[in-house]
Amino acid sequence: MTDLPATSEIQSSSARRPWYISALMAVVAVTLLLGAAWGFARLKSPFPFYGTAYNGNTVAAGFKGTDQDGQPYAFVPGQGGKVTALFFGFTHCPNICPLTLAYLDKVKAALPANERDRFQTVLVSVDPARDTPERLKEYVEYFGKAEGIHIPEPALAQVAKDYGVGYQRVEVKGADYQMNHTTATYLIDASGKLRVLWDYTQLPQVERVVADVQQVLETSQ
Amino acid sequence: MNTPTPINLDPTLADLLIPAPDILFLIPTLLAAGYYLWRFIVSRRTEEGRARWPIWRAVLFGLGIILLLMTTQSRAATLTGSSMALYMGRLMVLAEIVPPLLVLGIPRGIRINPRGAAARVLGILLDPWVALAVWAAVIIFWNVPAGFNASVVTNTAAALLPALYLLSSLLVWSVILRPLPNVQPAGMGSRGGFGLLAALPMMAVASVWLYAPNVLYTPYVNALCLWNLSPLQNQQLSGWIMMLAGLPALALAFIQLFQWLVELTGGDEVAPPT
Repeated sequence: MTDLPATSEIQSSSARRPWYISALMAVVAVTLLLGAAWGFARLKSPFPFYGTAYNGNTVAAGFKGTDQDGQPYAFVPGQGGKVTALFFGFTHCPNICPLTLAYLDKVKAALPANERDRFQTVLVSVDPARDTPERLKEYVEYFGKAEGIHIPEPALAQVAKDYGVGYQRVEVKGADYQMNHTTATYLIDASGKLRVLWDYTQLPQVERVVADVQQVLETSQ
Repeated sequence: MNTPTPINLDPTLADLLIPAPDILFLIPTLLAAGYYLWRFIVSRRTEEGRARWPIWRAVLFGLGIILLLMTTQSRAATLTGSSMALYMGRLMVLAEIVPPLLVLGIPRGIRINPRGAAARVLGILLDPWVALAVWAAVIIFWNVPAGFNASVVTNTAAALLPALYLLSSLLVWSVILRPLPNVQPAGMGSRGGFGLLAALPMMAVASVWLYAPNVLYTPYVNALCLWNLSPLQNQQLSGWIMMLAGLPALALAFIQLFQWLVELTGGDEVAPPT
């Protein structure tokens, strides 16, 4: 940006550029733009994860509670070489939580037999006041096979905070209250790291979720 | 080692501005700001340099850099999934406020070797067709539901989209404000026409958001939103933000078009002495 004074050379060549050359350059530019976006995604995560990939260095938090059988439960991320799909929900949830459980059950069923045993689903209730272990048992067994964990407050708030999960009680006119909550499912690998996050809207594409799970199963023993 | 950021559903402005460094943006921004500062200091040594690079240009550039840092290096950048309006507010600052400030900060009279690679690359990037196509692609592709959903919930564009808004809008504003006349042959009329066309994709998207009766983007359908806004309110607010953000560029386009009309009709000629 220093040398020569402005001359008319470039000006005239740009001005003389036929419109169809400009149009062609525009098409090439858009192609390059979309290609670069794809390349950036691959650079960020060499495996094309369907969900949002974590940076590979994010440790999942452990927690303690009571499982659906009323037994003390301690979640130690990665323990026993297991890969865990963890989500936060509640049994009075009319749509998102049952669907999430059902889709995660489909994901498990779609895994090869040798990988199925290493994959587990854990539901942490964000409504400990109503979700007793008995109710959780009924719920997780009806919609699939998962661990239903009851954690009383204020420990629940800390666990939710550890995972970046928000939840709050919402009063409903003429009906029992509902809970608003983050609808993500977190995939934790066998070394205890958070690897992928799916929004519940992504779960219906079971094959793509299965591919993510298999990648994590195969890269974390 | 780190853990996910906890969500505060009622953040104040101070909460939103808590630093959250994003190296991908931070390093290029600091390098660009450092280069600009160095060249500005050098220019102060001569009378001619001071004349073509007045302090007000450096102030505008500095303001643009500060806004860029505030929108990309703060907690606000981590709350995309919790507020469409906040997300759109950030993108609009990056697209409609930062770029004109940065472009206005460029000193006049930059001399580029017309035979050099820089002139040729700029000649292509600042071709109105190229700038408009890239801008329209960013606005349209990443605002149709599939693209927008991907930008919010997958890793394909979440980190990239703010950069794309900034860079494509820099091209658009460079065509409109024409900081490098010797590689930008466009006259006032074509710049005004270009500005008008460039504003259309954003205005169209904003109108859809304002008048759509349903939430268009699945990640926000049942989202827990900041400040107790419903997802639909968030979408409508995003429409207002986008529309208002696009108005200055639209107004400038009309001014340029009218100026061109005045030139065309000889209205700017000096009256002959009587």
